[in-house]
Amino acid sequence: MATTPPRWKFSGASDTGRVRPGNEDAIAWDESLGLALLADGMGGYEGGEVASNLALSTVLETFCQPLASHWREAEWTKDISDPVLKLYAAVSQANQTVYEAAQQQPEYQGMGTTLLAIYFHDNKATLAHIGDSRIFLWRKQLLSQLTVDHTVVQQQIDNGEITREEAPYSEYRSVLTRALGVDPVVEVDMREVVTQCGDIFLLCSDGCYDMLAHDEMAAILDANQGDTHQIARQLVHKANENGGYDNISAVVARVL
Amino acid sequence: MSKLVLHGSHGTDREIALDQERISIGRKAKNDIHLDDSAVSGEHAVIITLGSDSFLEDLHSTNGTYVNQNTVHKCVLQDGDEIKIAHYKFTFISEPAAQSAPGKTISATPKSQIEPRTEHPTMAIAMNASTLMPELTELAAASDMPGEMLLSTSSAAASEIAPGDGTLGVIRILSGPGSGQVLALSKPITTLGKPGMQVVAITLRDGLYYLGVVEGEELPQVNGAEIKSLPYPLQQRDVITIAGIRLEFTLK
Repeated sequence: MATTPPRWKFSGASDTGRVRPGNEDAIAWDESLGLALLADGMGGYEGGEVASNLALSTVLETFCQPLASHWREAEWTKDISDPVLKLYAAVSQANQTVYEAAQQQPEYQGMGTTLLAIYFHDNKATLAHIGDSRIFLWRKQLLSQLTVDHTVVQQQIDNGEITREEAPYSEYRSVLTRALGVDPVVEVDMREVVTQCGDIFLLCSDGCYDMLAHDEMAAILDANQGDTHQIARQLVHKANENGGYDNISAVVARVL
Repeated sequence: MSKLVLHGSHGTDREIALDQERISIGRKAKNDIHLDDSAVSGEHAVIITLGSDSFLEDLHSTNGTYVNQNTVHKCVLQDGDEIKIAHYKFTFISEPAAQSAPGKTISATPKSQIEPRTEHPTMAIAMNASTLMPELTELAAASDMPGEMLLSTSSAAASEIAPGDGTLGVIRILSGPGSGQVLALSKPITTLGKPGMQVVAITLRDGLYYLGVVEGEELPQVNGAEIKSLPYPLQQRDVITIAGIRLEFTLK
């Protein structure tokens, strides 16, 4: 069987930053599967890094296997496309796995993680998102954000209680309304984007996008158009230069 | 935020917050701390603050910069250090990073908002849905952070690697100061690298070893090339380059 080379290029970088003692972020990707992932863990002694790494390895592992048959037996899945259901099933499994690990081991109680997943197939990218990590799209020299944070601050903005400008100063800025692994079930935001040749998708933890002005991100993307490795490297470098107050991670995916 | 206290000649102290990454000191007016005295060089010294650490660097000034009465070129400032430039005296007061981003927490409210939808969840355009799934995969132990360069969490003596059980991976250092050293990958996670530069983690799962990243702007290279997947499943005789040092992976 002839295998066609992937029509996308992934790269990434993850760094502890300059303040935190350890790295609770995790990144993963597999070009042949078309899957790229980022997670930012939280909670307790080593819980954060366990949660983020366990979530990613579970998503990867589940994704490699055929979709469990019970998914298609359920009535509600009949209108859902294969790629969407496959990604959703993997994220759902990761939630279950992290949740049970947290329940079973007292030292991991309360751990959880954000999760970003992007799955490239045909001419589409399927996105899954939980928490305050963000996916951006760089297309035709424009940077747009594809995800909406699951944070108390975002809720306050939606409700008109505070403005977007006030948000960075809110005491709730790191309080999530949703995370993977803290409840037996988790709601997953999913969407599909029709990709164009040259698109660059950017997966960022808050330690990355918080430390970079919009213009700085755009400048790095502009200066390194095609080079996913350089983009990831320079985003992390710049976020460190600007202070590196949190763990910094970026995964960069380019559609060829 | 850390600060400098400039001790004035009449017992008047002035506080200067180190609120920028770079604070320059010198005779020229453009300096952040402007000392108008002929014994001070135009661009005399600079203080770089990163997180909770501040570094003082003398910019080859004519009359030098003193910390606790010693000439310095570059040094890390400690709480209470006395800095002297010409006849100006400063005290450095360290106030560690209050600006560190607060740790993430989960809001207490949403648990009740999210209703389990195992029966007939609707996946509309937003495609929000939830379900329950059984099973638990094995949980790997968390890694320790390495304290020194190219040290792993495993302290197993180099040559005492038990042969035989078929799944024991081994790392051999091919270049650099630890060249020739051998490391058994017997723990669920072994971290390797140079903190501050590049750190990777090798995870053992179901008899297979995976290479992942912990720290660093650069990705580790395997056999001289960029990796296509991460965590990368290590193969027999793979050569990994971490922080400029080459390591060979073998499976016993």
